Amino acid sequence: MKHLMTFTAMAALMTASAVAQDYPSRTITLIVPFAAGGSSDLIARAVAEKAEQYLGQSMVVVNRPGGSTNVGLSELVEADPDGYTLGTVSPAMTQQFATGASSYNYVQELTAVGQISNVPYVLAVDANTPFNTLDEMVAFARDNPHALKYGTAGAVSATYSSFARFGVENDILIDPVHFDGGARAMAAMLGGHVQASWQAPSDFRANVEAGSIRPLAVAGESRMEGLYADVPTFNELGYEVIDQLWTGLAAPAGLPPDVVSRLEGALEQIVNDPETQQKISELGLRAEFLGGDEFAQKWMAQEARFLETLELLEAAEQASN
Amino acid sequence: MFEPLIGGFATAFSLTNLMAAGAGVLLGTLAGVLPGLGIAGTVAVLLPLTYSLDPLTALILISGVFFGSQYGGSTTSILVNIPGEATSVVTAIDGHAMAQKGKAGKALGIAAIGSFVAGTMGIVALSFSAPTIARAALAFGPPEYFAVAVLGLVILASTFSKSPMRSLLMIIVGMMIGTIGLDPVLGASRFTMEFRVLDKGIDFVVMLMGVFGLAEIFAEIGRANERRESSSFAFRDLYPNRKELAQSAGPIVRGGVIGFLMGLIPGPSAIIATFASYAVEKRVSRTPDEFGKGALAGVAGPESANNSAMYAQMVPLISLGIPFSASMALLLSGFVIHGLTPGPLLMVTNPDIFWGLIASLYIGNVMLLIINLPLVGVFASVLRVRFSILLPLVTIVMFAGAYSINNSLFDLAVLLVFGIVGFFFRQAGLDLTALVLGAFLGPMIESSLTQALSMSNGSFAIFFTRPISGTILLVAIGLLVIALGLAARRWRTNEKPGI
Repeated sequence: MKHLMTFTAMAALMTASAVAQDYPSRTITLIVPFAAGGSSDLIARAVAEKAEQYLGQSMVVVNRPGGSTNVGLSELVEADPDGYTLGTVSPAMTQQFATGASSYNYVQELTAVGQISNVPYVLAVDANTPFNTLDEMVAFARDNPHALKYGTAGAVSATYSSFARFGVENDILIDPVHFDGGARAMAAMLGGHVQASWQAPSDFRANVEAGSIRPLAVAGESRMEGLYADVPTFNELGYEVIDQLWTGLAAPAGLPPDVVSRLEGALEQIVNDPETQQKISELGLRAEFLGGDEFAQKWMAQEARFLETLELLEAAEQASN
Repeated sequence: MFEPLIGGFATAFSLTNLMAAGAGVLLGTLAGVLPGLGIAGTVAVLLPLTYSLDPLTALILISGVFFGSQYGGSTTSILVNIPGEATSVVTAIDGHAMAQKGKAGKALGIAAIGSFVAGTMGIVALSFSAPTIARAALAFGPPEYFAVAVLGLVILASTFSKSPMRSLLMIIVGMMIGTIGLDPVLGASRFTMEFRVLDKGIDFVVMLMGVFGLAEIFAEIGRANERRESSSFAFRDLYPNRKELAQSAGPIVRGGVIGFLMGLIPGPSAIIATFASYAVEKRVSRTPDEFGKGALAGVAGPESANNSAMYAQMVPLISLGIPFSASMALLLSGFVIHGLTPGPLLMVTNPDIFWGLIASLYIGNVMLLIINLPLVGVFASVLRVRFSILLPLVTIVMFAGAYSINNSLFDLAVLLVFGIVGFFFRQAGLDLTALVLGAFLGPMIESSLTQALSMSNGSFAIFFTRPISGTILLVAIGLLVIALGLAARRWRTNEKPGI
């Protein structure tokens, strides 16, 4: 017991000064900016479970939900860049600064470690609507301005900005109804209160299987496998939309490069482990590793695209006034 | 129709599944008894541990926690006037008054029996008509939720207080508190004074714990010098007698129905269901003056409502795959981590899981009654523990529980502030229930109003042209007119108006 205590005391001292040589030498905290039980949380737990095996240290998941991920992410930004505090990030991180929801620009103030999973968003309609194809929906919206409403998971979310951009780019007048979370938006669509929604395929899964929701297009580079195999991509239909929901690991800015590469290597092994792949695919998502540099580029591309979307939407609003 | 259910019982009666049900409901009862240690926290800890279990066993364990907590929540409410669970806030009003008269056992007993009966009603509805109920619930869109929230304000505001003006004041303050944080729809920061911690808003459950729990502890410290009568009671007094059971039948059935219907509304509707049941009981009672002084119906109704509300919350989850509350989102992930997708097809693709789970709900409900009735004596004897020992223990558990909700230190500050606010408001005779209802219904009214107006391109006609919301709003307006008429008559007859 005494042994153990001296050991932990020493470990604490050592990590304060020298970081890299024997990293990691103690438990790593993994901040999840969502409540326990969501898909981000389950992805984080699947990764944390394998940390011991591939990193030699355990990872503890800590849920810091609230403020559309701002609570957890600002805590991550403020943590020491020593590799012992990591967090999960998703596309919402690229929207917070531009919309004024956060004073931190996460894209610049976090270090990308690597991507864990990636799925395209899906545009779907209530199966009671007469639209069997995306073209039919667009044609109807063109003839009937402001007749179609789509449910979003909140205004600071791709479920809004991407659908709104789709509307502007295709010159149709469709209106958002903002809900507190994707689940309520979907309930509103099933009840016929809104006609369409833009969400992750995992969220639509049960009702697509049951035939009560009809997916019209997926926003990926290629078609998906399985349940959505018959659903065309936007690009196939000539609409040029790529919009993906990715989840990955990030650390505070200024993480020493050798710690980054140690984490990156372990994450690649974890993501490529068949057990992790299985767990993530059970969530209706797809495990897909990307290294830190590529992942960081993805952040920047997404942020640039979002800024462009904001400008487009603003211009459209001014034109309509 | 019964055949698959019988098959479900066969699966649920395996030794492992029975043990899972027992462990679940026991853990749930414990989480319910301990203030602050809520369902969400308990399930979040339990969830990763279920990876290694068989899917059905895992689901039985997790759902046991939900229903167990609704039984346990009343215990601390009744005994020490501190709600163990947010859904037992109302129970404290008359439950604790009964305990002070030496009738703690009766209150605990009727809470357990009411929970059992209403729980059974909920399970029967869930097992035989979940898909139908779920489809009917979908007819409620934003305009309907708006109407329900308005009706709720009109009915509830006048029930808990003798003075409408004070209630109104508290509702407004509550609604103002409800607007703190990022606006739920547009994400704009409101009343946060640049403090980022306020972005996520004031947690409703933490606020409830402060106002009703911590404030009570402060009040109790203030009363420390009064001599407390040690409540000794004979064992036969522990349980409600036949007459009391007969009296409670109405409240239990009404509570069960109210709880189930309200449980279908998204959000922490089980909490509101308990307030609604209390309001209804007070109105239909022939002796409304007894409410607040230990009316049995004030315990029987709300405790039944919170149980059936929990089963109602399962309806949209298992038949549509949509979680309407934080606790149901956790149950959803219990399905998902085992590769199951709850939704319209669950009954078809995994009938063994679906019916096994339903059967285990019946079993768990019986287990809860068996566990809880003998425990009534044990729990009631808690009252013999000196308050100087009991209160610090409860306080510690409460702080730990408040922290566990969001793992947030800030929430402890919220708890403390609302404890102090609650204490002084109560001393000033202000209505805390109205404060809490305002904080809950305010955001609901706001978001459903904006959503409905988005749907209608800005036209208010939508609230009256849709039959369901139109009817509900007319009822609300009617009630308001009657209430104003009564107030005006009292004014004319020069009765001293309660202000």
